Amino acid sequence: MRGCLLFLTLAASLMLTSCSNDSNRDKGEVELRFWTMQLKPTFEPYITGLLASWEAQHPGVKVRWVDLPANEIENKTLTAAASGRAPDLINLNPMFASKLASARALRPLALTPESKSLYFPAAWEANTVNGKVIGYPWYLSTSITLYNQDIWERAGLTVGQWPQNYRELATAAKAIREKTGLYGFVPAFGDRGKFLDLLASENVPLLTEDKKHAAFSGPRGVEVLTFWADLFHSGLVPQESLTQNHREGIDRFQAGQVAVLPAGPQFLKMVRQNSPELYSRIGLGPQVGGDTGRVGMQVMNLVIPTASEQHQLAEDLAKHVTSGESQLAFCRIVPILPSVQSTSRDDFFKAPPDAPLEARARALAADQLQRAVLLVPPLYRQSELAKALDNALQRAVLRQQTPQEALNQAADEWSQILASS
Amino acid sequence: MVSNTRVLLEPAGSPFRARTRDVVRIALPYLFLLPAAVILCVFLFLPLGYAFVLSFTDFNALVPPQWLGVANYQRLVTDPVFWTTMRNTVVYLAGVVPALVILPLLLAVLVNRSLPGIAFFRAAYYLPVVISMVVAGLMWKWIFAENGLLNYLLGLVVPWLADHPVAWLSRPETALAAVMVVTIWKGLGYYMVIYLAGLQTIPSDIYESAAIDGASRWQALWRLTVPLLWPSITFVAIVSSISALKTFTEIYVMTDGGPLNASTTVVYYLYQQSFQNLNMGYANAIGMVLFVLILVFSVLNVRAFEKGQAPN
Repeated sequence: MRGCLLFLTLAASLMLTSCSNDSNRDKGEVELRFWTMQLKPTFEPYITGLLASWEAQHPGVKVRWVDLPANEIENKTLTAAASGRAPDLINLNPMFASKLASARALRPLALTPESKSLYFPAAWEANTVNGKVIGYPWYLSTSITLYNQDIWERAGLTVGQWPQNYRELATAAKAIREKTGLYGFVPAFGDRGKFLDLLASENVPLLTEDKKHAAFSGPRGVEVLTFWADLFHSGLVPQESLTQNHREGIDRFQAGQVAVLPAGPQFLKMVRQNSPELYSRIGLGPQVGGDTGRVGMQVMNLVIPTASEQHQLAEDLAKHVTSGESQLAFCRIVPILPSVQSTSRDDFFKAPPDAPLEARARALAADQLQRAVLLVPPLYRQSELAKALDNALQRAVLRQQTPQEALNQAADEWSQILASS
Repeated sequence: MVSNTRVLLEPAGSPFRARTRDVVRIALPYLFLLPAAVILCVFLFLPLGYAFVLSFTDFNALVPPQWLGVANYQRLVTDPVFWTTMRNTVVYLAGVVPALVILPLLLAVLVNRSLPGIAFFRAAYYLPVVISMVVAGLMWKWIFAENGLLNYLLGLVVPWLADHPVAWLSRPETALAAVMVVTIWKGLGYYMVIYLAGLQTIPSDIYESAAIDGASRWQALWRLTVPLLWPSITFVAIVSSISALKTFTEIYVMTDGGPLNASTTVVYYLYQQSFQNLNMGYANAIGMVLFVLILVFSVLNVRAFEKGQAPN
């Protein structure tokens, strides 16, 4: 009897649980599912407020917000899309979004010229795959450079005279290594697509005009690869930077083991919490890049899966979330930059020289944003193309091949991958 | 329960009743097996069959699969990265499995004594098993770092290494070996407990008789402990081979398969192809090869077990 009761209780609980998802539908409400990347719990009040204001304008529509860790959102999106239960609006990075778009899993957007002119052209570029716009640009970031002024001074370098490009950075790294025994910076070759970015920052052409073959194996590409391979062998960067990523560079910077960290202004908060002494001695410089002076931007976007049954509402929510007003409110609580051009020129993004460090960092990044470009546009099967180039970098750095041989092999691999498009 | 069933099935004389009784008698064991069979079908055999079918397709999980025939298997044969990962997997097996068969046995013999505080040592050796692999991987990543503990200790022994630390996880020659060390360290305690359970079933008078006959400790280990523990040894060999073939987390956390695929095993390559490149069809073909590989290893291990048991 007791077993029977237990069984009935369990069965009833199961039924109640399975029905709970449909309770909103039963009430006649439309449910819109919105997934974001790593915003809970820090930005929960902002997001819930934003959604509540939108719901107030749309009676009968309820937004179900789910926040996922950055390293899980791709797999969750993939499995949700494969099972036909994709959310209506997702916050993704352009590389993964382009992967989904290549598989026709995202709904192309029909934009008016007015809405196009609202956002930065480079931010739209990051959301354009095969000529179709697949998402709304949300928040942006441009990397600036953080300097440990103590190390900088100990190396006999002048604070405020920051490197403008990688060659000047390498010269500074040499002085730092010789005078302090420390490393200048961590190149973070372990980041997927790092060499693709390095080539693009030097304006090395990536594809031929017909987009069927690689175009980076010419003299300019070889020169760039030779520079990085030689830098690695000169001992001016840690040997393990070959496989280390940006996160490990941050750890070394916070521990006072490297002098320079390329990072978005948002990382300053982390340094303030983990290493307050270092925080008070940080100098700020512009993004260090290639000889061409090209400044890159990182874009976060909002996309609508093809499977969404509420795509009109989803697009409306995307417009609300990415509006200038909403983004300015978001930028006030986290050091990110807006994708709306007029908003980026707001006084909030300006700071006098004696302003607090984080305000100056925000102003520096916002100033860079006006001339920032999208270094690498979304490419077909981009993760495989990026991997081929990362391997080329590693082969050259480990002296398994000459830079020319390494790039030739990568170019062959690109041709094979692109041939399947 | 049994008596109730008997009462229900008691023959009443009619042929219909007799037939029903026969049907129930035959069907009853299958009914008991049904829940397990359904679970196995839903979660094992159907996915396995579906994966086999998908291995003949071009599939990215987002649009319907396109039939390719044996193209994925042809690609496997000519894919140099696949063969690199096969070689890495074999090296991984050859390094990890013997270590996980022998070292825990020695450890179990060591802690199978009634000494004061022995429970502490047993618990201490078992501790790595309960640590999450992600945490263990991160911890070992710090140990293997250029400015990590291992290089520091080596620098004390060989001063030259203090100025020229080894980037253990960033060199193709050492990356896989470093990952193997973590797998072995993490598995020692688990297999030690299995051996310990086996050792405690061996009566102590056998060792006493052997000692009276003049057997040394080494002879007792080789001539008594190992043969009597043979079922446990085979079990450990099978389980550690299968888990070594499926190793993923330590590679994911420590090396991401690099540098230059030097620490990419077949399972990790399968992950890269499926979830990073969305080549699910090709990944399923890799999965099928892995399935056959595990099957062959299991059969070989079972054969070895039967062979080892015969003299006993």
